[in-house]
Amino acid sequence: MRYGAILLSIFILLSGLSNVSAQDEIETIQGLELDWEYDFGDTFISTKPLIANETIFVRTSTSTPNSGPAGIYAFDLDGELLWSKLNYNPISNDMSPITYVEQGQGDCGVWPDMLVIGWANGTIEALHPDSGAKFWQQNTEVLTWGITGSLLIDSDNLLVPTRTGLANYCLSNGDINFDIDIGLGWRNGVSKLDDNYFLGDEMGTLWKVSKNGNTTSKNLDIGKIRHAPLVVNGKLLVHGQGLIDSTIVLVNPDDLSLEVVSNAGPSPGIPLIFNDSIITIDSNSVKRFECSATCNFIDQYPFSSNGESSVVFDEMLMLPRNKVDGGWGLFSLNNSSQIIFNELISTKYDWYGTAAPEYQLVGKRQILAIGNDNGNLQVFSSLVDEAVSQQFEEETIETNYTSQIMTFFLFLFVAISGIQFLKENYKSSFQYLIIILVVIFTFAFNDIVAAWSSYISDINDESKSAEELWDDEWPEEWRGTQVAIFEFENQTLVSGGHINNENALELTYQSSENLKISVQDSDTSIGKYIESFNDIRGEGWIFFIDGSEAMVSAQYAEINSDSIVHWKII
Amino acid sequence: MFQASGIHGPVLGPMGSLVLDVVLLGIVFWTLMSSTKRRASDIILFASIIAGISLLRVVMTPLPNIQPVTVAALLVGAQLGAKRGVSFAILVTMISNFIIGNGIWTLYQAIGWSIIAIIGANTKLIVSNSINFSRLFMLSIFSAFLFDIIVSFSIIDGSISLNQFMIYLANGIPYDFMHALGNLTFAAWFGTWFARVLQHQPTLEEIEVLVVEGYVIES
Repeated sequence: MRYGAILLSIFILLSGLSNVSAQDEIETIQGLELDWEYDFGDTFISTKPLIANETIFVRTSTSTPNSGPAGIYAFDLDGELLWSKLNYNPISNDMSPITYVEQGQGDCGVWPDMLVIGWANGTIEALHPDSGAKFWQQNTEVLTWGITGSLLIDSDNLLVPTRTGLANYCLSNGDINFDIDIGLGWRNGVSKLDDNYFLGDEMGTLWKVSKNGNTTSKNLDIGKIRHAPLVVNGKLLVHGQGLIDSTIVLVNPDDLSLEVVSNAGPSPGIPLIFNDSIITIDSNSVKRFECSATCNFIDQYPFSSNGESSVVFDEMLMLPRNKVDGGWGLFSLNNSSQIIFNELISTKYDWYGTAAPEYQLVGKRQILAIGNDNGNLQVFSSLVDEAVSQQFEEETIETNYTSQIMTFFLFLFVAISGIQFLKENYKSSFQYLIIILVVIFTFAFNDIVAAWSSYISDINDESKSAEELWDDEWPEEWRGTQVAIFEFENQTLVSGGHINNENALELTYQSSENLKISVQDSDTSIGKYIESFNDIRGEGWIFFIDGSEAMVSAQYAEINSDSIVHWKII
Repeated sequence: MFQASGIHGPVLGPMGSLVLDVVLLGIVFWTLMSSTKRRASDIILFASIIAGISLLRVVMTPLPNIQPVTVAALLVGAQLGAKRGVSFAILVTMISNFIIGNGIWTLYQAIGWSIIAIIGANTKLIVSNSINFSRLFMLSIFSAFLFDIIVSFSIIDGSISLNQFMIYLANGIPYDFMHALGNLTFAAWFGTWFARVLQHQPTLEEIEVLVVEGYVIES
């Protein structure tokens, strides 16, 4: 009996091996399970992630003067970091939403798919969504901060609410069409109605800008305008922020005359349209209005939210609760005009938050990405129906065919080992057991070595930041990417702008291919060994990762998205 | 580990390699030198074992730090004595490194496996033609760590600080465990068979008896 129990224990332990990652703290939101998460460190996620072309884009903002750089990160749907682009000269807070632009053409030329980012340091960048490589860049004026509001794509024009005004650029090359000064703004996105652009400023003035840059304005006297005016039935809904409360108004776009819709709580967030209703948020409540010629108050529910909000699962509203205990409010609207509070969603990273969640149905997969000022991205997902689930499982089985056979033999060996143990044939039992251990250890060896090496590196961290190792002669485009240096006796070759390499060996191969450097390597029992570059062996080659001499094979030496790998000949 | 990390002692030039080879072969010659006459079949068997284990080591190179030579050195030392154990260790190291890669580390590997062979010869692993398995398993684990530490000394030169060396050793711990697991596997599965193969080799005592008997008959 005792032996049976021991055998059963071993069996259960081994059964659990393949699902270890799935057994970690399972969290669900409306049936979607936590799929993966990513820790951006001491940064904020102040604007909603974006899902486009099966890629999840996230932007982070510096939280304190000493926190890490702001950045843009691209992940595939399974959590693999595809690329990242860090801004080492950030200004708080980077919260201008990420804008995805599909390829097109206009008077200025053609443009491919692009990711357009407005930075609080005044820079506007158009990036390649597949690599983060830069297409073009422009700079705008900075007065304490630069761009913080939402951008607008209008045909082949990119409208950017700058700190001091509104700028219009050609999408294809970033050439400037106009850059006009209006009032100073913060989070003051721009919107379009008919042939005019509208945006507000910190003085409460609403600005109307024509396509050729002519301006008309009117002070609405409702406090600060910190969102893009919401176009509602040919009018503009504006939620102005006062000192202790806020005011919701409906503005006639022709003469900028206004009618007051409602008073509301302090620190309003960005309003949105949901199921033909207007939803406004502030520190006190969520309010619902219905608008035709005018807007009527319908319902409200006490909840504190001050930033973005979004529609999830096609029929629900999800709001970040901007309080120390954080969380996300999930609401729906019923036909009797009520706001229904469904639940308060909590995660282990609950804290202040203003970024809306991003929800999309990608193929048959529902994906929900959330992040807050804790700097952690969490991605929840689920398959829509059983058929898809089955298909997915079949694909997985096909992909892991070798593993399945190996697992079968492992179980067979476990069984034999157990039987021999019960027959008190201990030596034979040990023989099978040791085979099982060797196989498991061999298959897990890469991960074990990488994790162990990373742990050792962490406790003996002598590495330098990319900024310290940066050579001013390198192109700016290489910042935030992986760089490889090959230092020969009489020359040094450098290749940068690399992304997605997980270890030093991958980066070395990719870089040497770019630089037309021939590489000779050999397999050893402890990993790949680089014999020579360009047939030059010297007394051997050593390599450094971020300035710290590596102590394991390049094959097992993990690198970051902005690591610098330096090969030196001895 | 030096081979993988790119950190290692000096790569020897032709003259250095020649000196190292001559020294190692000199040791082999000295350890195998004997006034007694050996049977051709014994010599062929010994050479075959060396060739087989060398080949096995080369073939198993892709597996992380699985070293069949270690347990073999223990058993050769135990069954054939320290001198032939040392010659076995040196020859296997030289032959396999001729394919895997030669350098100053060959010296340290040869030293490591030679010490393991000497330990095997002095720990009564095989008594009355029977393997003491619990002792063999203990020594298999111990010799894995011992060998890896000895070989790690090959990276020491003027540029390596003590702290760096300790970090280097710490990084090697998973490799040491893999080596130990591999040793246990070889010992558990092939220990008995390998010891039996080696029994066909006459021990030094048997050779002495044969010599004495031959002398008596002749006189």
